[in-house]
Amino acid sequence: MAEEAGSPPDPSAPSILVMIPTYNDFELLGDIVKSIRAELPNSTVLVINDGSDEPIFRNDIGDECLLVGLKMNMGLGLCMHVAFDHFLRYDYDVLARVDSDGQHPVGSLTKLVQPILQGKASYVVGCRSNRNESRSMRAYLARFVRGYMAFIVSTVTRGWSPEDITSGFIAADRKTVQHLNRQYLERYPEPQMSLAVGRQKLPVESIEIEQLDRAHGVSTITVGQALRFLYRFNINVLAVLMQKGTTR
Amino acid sequence: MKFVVVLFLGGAMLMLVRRNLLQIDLTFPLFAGLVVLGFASMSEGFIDWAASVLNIADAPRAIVLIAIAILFSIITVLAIAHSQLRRRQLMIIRYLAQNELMQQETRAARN
Repeated sequence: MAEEAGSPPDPSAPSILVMIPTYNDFELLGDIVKSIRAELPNSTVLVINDGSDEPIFRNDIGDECLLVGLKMNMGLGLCMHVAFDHFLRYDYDVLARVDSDGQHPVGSLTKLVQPILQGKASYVVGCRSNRNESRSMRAYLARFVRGYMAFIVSTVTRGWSPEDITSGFIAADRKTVQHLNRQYLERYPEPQMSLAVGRQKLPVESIEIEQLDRAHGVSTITVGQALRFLYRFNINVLAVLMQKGTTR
Repeated sequence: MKFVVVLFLGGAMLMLVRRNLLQIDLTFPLFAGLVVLGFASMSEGFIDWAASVLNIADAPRAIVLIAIAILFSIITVLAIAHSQLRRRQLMIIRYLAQNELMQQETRAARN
């Protein structure tokens, strides 16, 4: 595994892979990588550039990071699979995800991976306590869509799902990664992942986090994409319902 | 007039194929069926026969319904082909990304 020069790895420490998918959002990338290294010194950071208009330079993120650049924008689902493939190939213990827009509180990473390291959970989701605070029309619409999806996922999994199914601040253990890598994850995969984990009855835990304000860039989810997102979600739920029970 | 319509539809199809929007190898039987149907529908005898086979009172509607069914089949085949290609594309990208990461891991282990 890639380790920082001058800090010999502790062989007994669990290996953690922290993935940062990014699309035209790397103003804060260097700072986020530094914060992750400070929070989880034994972790390996994997930056996945999902076909951004500009390339990411090594100097911006440091030599100790793993960096892979996709030639075109393929969506978050594929980025997750790239991270899963690497995670499984190099026998990491925990996979965590942090977004590159600076909204995820990197200081809560230890809290996020803790339930997995303690064997209490296989999939941990950072539940945004302030996700419903905004009062704009767009925020109301997003809240309605989130509520609808959470209700459907909770019904389909009989309550075996995290509270915030659209949060991207997640951590997973090996068993969960193996299961999720067998799925075909779409462009915005978070609800799909919650659904897959819930159907498999893998132990799920939610931790409270405070989502930070977006410091740079804009959301990639437009109204049109939100409708497609909803369409994909419904199709995915129908596909899951047609599968035969759980495969536990 | 019917002949002009058939020629126009045939031309439009060929244009789609030329622009690589239609995969002719996968849809060929359906494409051929549509062309044959277009020419056959110029014959009154064929229209009456198709209407009697399908139990449709208004004869010209039989041709329209058959054409719609074939078009749906083409769309389905194209959607399947597109999905297969997308999956292959994703597998190739994952393979390439994995190779790139493997090289970085190997380099880091050497250092």
